[in-house]
Amino acid sequence: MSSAEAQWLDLARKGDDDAFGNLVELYQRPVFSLCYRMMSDSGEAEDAAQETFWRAYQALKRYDPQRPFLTWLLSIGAHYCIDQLRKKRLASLPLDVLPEEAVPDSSADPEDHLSRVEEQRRLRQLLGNLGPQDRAAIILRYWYDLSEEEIGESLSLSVSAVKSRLHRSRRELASQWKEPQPQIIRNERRRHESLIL
Amino acid sequence: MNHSSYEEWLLSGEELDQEQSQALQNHLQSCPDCTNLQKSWSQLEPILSASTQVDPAPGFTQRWKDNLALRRAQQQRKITWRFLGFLLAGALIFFLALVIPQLGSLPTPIGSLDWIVFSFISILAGIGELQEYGWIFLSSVPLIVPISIWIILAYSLFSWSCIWFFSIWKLPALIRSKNEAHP
Repeated sequence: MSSAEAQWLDLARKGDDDAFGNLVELYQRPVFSLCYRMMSDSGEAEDAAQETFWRAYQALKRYDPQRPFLTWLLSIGAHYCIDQLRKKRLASLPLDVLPEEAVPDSSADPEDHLSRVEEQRRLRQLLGNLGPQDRAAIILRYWYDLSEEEIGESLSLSVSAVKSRLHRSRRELASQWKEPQPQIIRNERRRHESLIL
Repeated sequence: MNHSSYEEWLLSGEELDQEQSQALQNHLQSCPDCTNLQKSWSQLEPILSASTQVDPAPGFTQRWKDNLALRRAQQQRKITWRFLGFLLAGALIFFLALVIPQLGSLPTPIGSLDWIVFSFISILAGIGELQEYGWIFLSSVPLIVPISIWIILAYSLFSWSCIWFFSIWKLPALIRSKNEAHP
């Protein structure tokens, strides 16, 4: 944590709204990303991210400074998204409901870019098939590089439960990943060609 | 060793010692399921790890600030309504405490109606009498009480009114800040 960040946090805990605004500015990307991965919809992710910051703002006095602030925020966000998903029973989303995601086009090869877009699309579909808590565990492990202990703290699970959920999710993701989806690839290629033309 | 232990080794990403690696390789040669799993996972894991973060739409922080102002206003309104509700409930309880014992002593609905009409007339008559006493008091007192006392009384009344208005206006905000300080 940088000294400016620590200072904002200190001021925010004393009731300085501008300081908390700076923290929102700083952490909006990781929090929004988590919500987006969880909810699979940018509008719902925006609402969830705003709610996450509101809950953090209200609970700021209870924040333990020994704990990384981002992990604490992600914990609030993950819990909120899990609750929302359970309420809406959106554990499984059909592919055509999932929104487009901008994948940075760093290569000049359109085939390569297309393949990466397709990979991300498939990955989002597979994540959508996981249960909310399993999905949160995978996202926190791979996108935020949290340890199993930190994931356990964030999701209120024991380390052994986290290990078991991660193993189950990896197995499910890998077993679904191997299944080829030629129709999806054909559709994606057709869509891309129509954009070029 | 059973099949699921090999799966655990394949998916956990933990470092295996030489003996474990050898055992896994031997198992992979004889188990097509684990070979497929390893193949899929080795394709998927780098994609998972390399996935980028997503930016929210521009102006996220400003929207947060607007939301904060809105939610605070909602909270303040809620506290004010709760306070007014509390006052109303108190008044209702006080009223019922006065009225219910009287109603209990009346045997029939006609008797109750009589009692209500009688009470209403009595109250009106009482108000009329009070008005009369008030006029007598107001016409006689200025002759007795000096003007300086009147000024002090008027000033005190004005001060109390200001304090009352300020309390009604600021009390919900004070309660909210106290709650935030000790959640």
